[in-house]
Amino acid sequence: MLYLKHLAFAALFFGSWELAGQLGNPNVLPPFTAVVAAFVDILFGPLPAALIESLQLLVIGFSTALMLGFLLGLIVGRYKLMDRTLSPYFAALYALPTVALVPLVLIWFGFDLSGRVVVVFLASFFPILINVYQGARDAPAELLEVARSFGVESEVGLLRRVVIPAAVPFILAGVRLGIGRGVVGMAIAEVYLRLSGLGTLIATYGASFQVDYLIAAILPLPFLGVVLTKALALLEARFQVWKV
Amino acid sequence: MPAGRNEVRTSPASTPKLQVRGIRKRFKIKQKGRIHEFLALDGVDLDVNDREFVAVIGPSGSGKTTLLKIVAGLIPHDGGEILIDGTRVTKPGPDRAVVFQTFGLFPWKTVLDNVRFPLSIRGVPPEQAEATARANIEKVGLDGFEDAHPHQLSGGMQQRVGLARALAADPQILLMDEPFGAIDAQTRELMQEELLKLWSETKKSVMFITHDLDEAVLLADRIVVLSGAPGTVQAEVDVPLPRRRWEYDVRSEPEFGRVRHHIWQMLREGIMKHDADQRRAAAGA
Repeated sequence: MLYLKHLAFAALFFGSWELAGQLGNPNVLPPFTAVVAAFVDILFGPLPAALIESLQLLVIGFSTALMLGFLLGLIVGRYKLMDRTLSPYFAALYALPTVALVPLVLIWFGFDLSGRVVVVFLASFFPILINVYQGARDAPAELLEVARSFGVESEVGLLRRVVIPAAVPFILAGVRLGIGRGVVGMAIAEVYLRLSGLGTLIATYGASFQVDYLIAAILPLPFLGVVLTKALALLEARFQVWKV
Repeated sequence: MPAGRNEVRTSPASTPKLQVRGIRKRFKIKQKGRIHEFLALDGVDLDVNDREFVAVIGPSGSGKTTLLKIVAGLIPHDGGEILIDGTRVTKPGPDRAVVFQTFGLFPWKTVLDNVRFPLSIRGVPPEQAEATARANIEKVGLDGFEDAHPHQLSGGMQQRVGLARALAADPQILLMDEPFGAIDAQTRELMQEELLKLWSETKKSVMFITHDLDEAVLLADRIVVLSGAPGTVQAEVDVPLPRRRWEYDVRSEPEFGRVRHHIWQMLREGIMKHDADQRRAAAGA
């Protein structure tokens, strides 16, 4: 039944779009079929290379953010002094929109790959950091005692045996948010910092008012978001059998 | 320290398995920006002999759980010492295993992995650890649930896992912190009976914290009564009921009632005094 409802909604949505495109100005809103044709055209043209370039940027920026966010989140979550002194800044930086930092990144890091990576990194880093930090801070005190009572002595042992496993739901939530924001950061970096990857396509088609191609070039972004988030939801389900 | 205790320490045959000597514990609590100190335990002495079952009973606030955690080496104390076989201990060790009040199971681990935990920490080879874990799971009657996760089990079953884990660690002393306090009354009676059977088979030394008087009399060879606060040993009472207590109706023995009444009189005094103190403090404030 849900499947049917989805189908009905999609038919209504794309049907009205097509109709509006056919009746109105195609230079403002091209018909759905024109966008599909444009998409097929770039799919066998510049899209694959652009997508690969964009994904490279996303992977480098996001994985750096994941590693550093994970480590710093654990440390700050486990040490009270760090927690008290640093956590207010996290909230502030988390709320700062990445796009506002673009000019600063440009001045500090230039518009080479490093600059673009920094934008993706900044977008992904804080949601990961904050979630890992919360998970580590809320590590169940009783389970830490259990582990110690059975002979776990080192902080690394406690992290590995208790803190990290207990924080898995937080960590995965952070990763999911981080990827979503990373895709946004990627688009911002490639359009506003220097044209590259999907950004090149979007900016070029936009500047030449090829709206059907412009929309076709934007499509991979939400698609990427959906695919990555779904993949993570599957991962979460796998890791959280015990949380049912 | 009196000379007599030193003599005891040098003759292993009569050395208690566990000796708690003059344990003091202070807590600092922050209230309205000021740091208050309060004394939770003030010079607690008690012994647990080899293969003896000792229950520690006391009203809430008498520091029972704090005492157990100090014996377990989980929290530091501010005076006194803990001796096992006459040797001073200051941190957790394989000679002790704790059964926790709220079970303390790792929710992300299966029953088998929870029970195997102490062994894998100790570096026991995986096959051997698994065999030991399975044997102990069977001992507590949970065979068939090895691959279940804790959230799929009832409270009573979860505490069986906790017990199997402590037994798998094969300690000399079992430290049990109100282990059946969070379990419903019917299941609790069953668990008490099974603990008696397990104890008679394994013959561990047991320090059992409880606030349930019937439970203490039912299980223990000896009951240490704590008064609070600060916690001090008010009395020690032997329970001269014959063992294999699951084989007869122990609760209807005259001796059961006598011991129970005796301890209740002491607890009652302590509780009433504590209550009066609190009311006086409240009136003065």
